[in-house]
Amino acid sequence: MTNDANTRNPTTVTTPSDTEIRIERVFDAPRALVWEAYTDPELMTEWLGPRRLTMTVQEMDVRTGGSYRYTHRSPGSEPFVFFGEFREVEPPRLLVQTFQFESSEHPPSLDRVEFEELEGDRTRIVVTASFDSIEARDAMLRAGMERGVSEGYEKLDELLARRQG
Amino acid sequence: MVQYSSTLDSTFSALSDPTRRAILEQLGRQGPATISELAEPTGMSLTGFKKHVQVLEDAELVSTEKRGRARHCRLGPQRLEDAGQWIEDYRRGWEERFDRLEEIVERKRGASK
Repeated sequence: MTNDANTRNPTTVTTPSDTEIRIERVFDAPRALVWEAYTDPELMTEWLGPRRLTMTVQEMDVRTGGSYRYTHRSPGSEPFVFFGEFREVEPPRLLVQTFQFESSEHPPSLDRVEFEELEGDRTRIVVTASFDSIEARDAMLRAGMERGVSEGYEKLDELLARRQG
Repeated sequence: MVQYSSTLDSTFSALSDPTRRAILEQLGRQGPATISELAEPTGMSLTGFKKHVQVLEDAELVSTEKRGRARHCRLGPQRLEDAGQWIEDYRRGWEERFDRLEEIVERKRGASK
C-alpha cells in the first residue's frame, strides 16, 4: 500500500466538552496489528516519543492494574517522566489508562483508547482524554504546541524520503 | 515561551456550546446584528438567547451596544487565534505520532506476509 503526504489519513482533534480532548485517526491496517504496534514497549519508542528526544521505557505492563513509566531525554535539559496505570485492558479493542506528567501540578488525565474495526481491514483509533478541570485540559493543549511547532512535518519528510530511497 | 491571554479559559468555555458557536459564525459571516435578529432563526426564547450572548460578551468574543430599543452585537476584541493555534499545534503533534505509528504497522504487515 502506498501512502504519501496527500493520501495520508487525517488526524482530527476536538474538544467535546470543557474537560475532554478527543483525537481520531484511521489506519489502513487490521486491528490486531495496530494494537500490537500501539502497545509494544519496543515499538512505542519509535512513535510516541517527540522528535529530538530519546525515549526510554522503564515499565510497560499492559494489563488491567499494570503500570507504565517512560522518560524523554534531551541533552542539556531535565528528563520528562510520564507514568500511569492501566485501568482497563481488553486486547485488541480497548485501553483505559491514567496519564501523568511527573512535573505537572495537575492530577492525571484518564485516557480511553478505542480501536474500532472498520470495513476493508482498516482500524480507527479514538483517544478520549478526560481531565479534572479546564485548566488541566488547557495545560495539555499548551504542552502539545511546543512539540507541534518545533517538529512540524520534518519527521514526515524523513519517512517519505526513506520510502523512496 | 509565548504568553497566552488569561481569558483563554473563558474563551474555551464560551465556545463549548453550539448556540454560541453559531452566533459567532453568523456575526463573522454577516457582520453586526441585533439580538432579536440573531435569536429569531434559532426559535429560542429571547431571555435564554440573551444569556448566551452574555457569556460571549464576558469572554470578549462579542461586544454589544444598546441603540434605542435594540441591542446590537458584533465580534468582540478577543480573537480566536490563541485557542485555534493551540489545538492545531496539539493536533499536529498527534498527527506526527500517528504517521510514525502507521509506518510501524505497515512494516510489521510487510514482514508478516
